[in-house]
Amino acid sequence: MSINLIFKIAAVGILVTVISQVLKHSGREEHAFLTSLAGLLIVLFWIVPYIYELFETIKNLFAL
Amino acid sequence: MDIIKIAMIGLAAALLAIQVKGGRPEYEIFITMGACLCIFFFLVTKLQVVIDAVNEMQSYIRLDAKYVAVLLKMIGITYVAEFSSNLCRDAGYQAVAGQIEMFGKLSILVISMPVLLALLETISKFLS
Repeated sequence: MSINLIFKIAAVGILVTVISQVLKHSGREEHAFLTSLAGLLIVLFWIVPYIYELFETIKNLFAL
Repeated sequence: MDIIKIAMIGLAAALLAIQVKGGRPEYEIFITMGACLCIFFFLVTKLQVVIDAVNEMQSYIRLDAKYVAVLLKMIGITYVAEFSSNLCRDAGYQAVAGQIEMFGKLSILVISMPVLLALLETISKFLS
């Protein structure tokens, strides 16, 4: 859980940007939209458990 | 040292976020959130040391556990409010960030009310 989370997200971001550009230029608008949506979902699946863990830790640590 | 690691994470995330900002701006928020999470998990270990010290201090001097719990709760609320309001401010939504901070301040005020009442009670006891 160290820095590779950030690199993964950045990689997905850059990849989705490139893919959507290519798809857009080759005329497939909806595919470009779908790939960007897929990229968004992947990153969400990575980040949400960490956010949940963050708030759980805070709740336990500070007895909120 | 830890601080160097934290600085590296922050800088790497900032540079990557700028890189991705051109193409797809929504990933910028994800990257900054990921960096905040990374740094938080380093912070927890340091925080645990502080909280253990506070608990140990409490055993030496006769201090009502309720007040220390209120103190810790305040710190927790401040941290969560600060974390989320800064993220909203990064995303460009100042109003939402302001509301979160306002709610944080008010909930701290609510939590500290019993302590204030207890203080006034002791004072009135002295005076009467």
